[in-house]
Amino acid sequence: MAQMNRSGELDTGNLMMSHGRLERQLRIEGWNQNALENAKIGVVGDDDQLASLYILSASALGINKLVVLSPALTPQLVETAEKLNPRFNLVHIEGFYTHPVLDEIFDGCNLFVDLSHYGLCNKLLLEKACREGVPVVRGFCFELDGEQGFKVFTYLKGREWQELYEIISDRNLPGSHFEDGVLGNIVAGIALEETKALLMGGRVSDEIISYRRKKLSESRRQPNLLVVGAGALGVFVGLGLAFADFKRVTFIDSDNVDVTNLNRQVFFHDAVGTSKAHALSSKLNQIFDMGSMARLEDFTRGTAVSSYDAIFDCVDNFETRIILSETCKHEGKVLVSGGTSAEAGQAVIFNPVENGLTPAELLGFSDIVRNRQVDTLRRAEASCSHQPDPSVVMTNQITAGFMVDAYRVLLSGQRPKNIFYHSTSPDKILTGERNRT
Amino acid sequence: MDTAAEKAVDVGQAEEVKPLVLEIIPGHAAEGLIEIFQPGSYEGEPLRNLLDLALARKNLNIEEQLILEDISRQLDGGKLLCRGQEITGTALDFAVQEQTEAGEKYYYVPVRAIRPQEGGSLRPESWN
Repeated sequence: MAQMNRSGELDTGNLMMSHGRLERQLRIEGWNQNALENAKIGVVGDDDQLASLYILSASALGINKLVVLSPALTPQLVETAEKLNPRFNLVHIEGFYTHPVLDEIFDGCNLFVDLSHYGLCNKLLLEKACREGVPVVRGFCFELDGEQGFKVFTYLKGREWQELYEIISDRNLPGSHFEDGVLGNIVAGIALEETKALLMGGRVSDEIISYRRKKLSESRRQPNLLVVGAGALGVFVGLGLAFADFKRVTFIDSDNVDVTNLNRQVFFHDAVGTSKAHALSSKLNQIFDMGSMARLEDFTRGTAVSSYDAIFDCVDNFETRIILSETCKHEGKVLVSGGTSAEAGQAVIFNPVENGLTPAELLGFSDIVRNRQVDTLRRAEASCSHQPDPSVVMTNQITAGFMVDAYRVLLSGQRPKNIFYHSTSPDKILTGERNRT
Repeated sequence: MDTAAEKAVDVGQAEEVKPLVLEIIPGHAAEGLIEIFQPGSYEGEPLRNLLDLALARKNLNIEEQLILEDISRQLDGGKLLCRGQEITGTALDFAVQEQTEAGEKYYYVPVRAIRPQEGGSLRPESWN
């Protein structure tokens, strides 16, 4: 973790900034930041958004060295990644991986991340990985037979399994393919989870991590959306809404950016001390010409929501979530509620037309808060020290992706499912239940 | 991974006599606590009652005991959900029909103990 300045002296200012930026993940038990910071990762892509999203969140996590072979990247996302992490070093080679002669680009890499959509690249990387004993994290979005979705799988030497057939693209050479920034956000997050697990000696998924749903129909509506909370979830929900081309979006948050937010709130590298809602809105307007707005206030029972078609719950406490649920039920508004921890997250949707349970009712937030109040009083006598929960970029990126996708599914006239994600469990994505076999 | 099991019990199937396999799974785990109800013992019962019966069982082996402890941990601030939805009605409202390798048919209801995630709010240190 030690950093030297150009004179070869220990750069204490930079070091303190780095510790502050990463503080929320350094507190996770068993966390090995050195393994991330010292790794060199080779990335191949042919979808500028997907590769750029991986680069962005890898930088936020504190990965310093990436070698990327891709015909193009999204300049604004790469620029953000470079500003977010002062030690970030990106080598971008423009092109496609179509010949083994390009092997040496990836010399010294600890692992490869294959985000491409052409079979030749998939096979070349798997062959190289098998020969050199280097893992490959493979992730991609697909559209097939009226369905859209994604798959992620980690190949390690010895895993010459049937699953490999499912992760090799049908088309051998580069060409047009399905791209989706919302699903891409989820793929990038899961690929980074697998990357982190590999680098820290953790367990990667045994099975293909997959998600699919019916193809979305085109919607010409421009609903008026309110995103409550411009923290980690809010940032990635905002990014997803921008990718999905929603233009009428308002972010509401009274908080200011703190340096400890920067390991996951990726757009705030130049906004420490300023309003989160304003910084997020400005950044998305600048990068995506989104036309979003900011409200610098807390969401309360008195907050007017009548002009909004749907509300995204990106707050960090159950108390406000209860108010959001009650408000949306009373006002008949769609509510997409998200919640994350360092290793898990959920995306739960309330559609007033169906007259179902709100997220607070379904997940029992009131009971949790009631029990906590009793507990808090008891514990407050023993300790006055408070610490924020550990948090990382991946679960926020993944959960936010599912939140935005759930809303797109609803707008498309389909019935979205509640989704529960857990990074370390065998069944990572629960959208319903698998039949027993 | 994401095979969505739709409510598969139509009227014709529901009239057939089959046992019910109820599995209570802690969080995202692959396996849970299994309780089998014979025909005639579960049809009119609310699913909630069957879950209470399963969770109150005493004669558990060590593996089942560990799963039950996991379930209890999840339910400390969590809820029992079936396919991400509230548990209301009878088991047959949620059942899918399956069969063993020997061809014996049964109804299957998976219930998960899910603890919702909150976010990054400030908490007393002793909670972490």
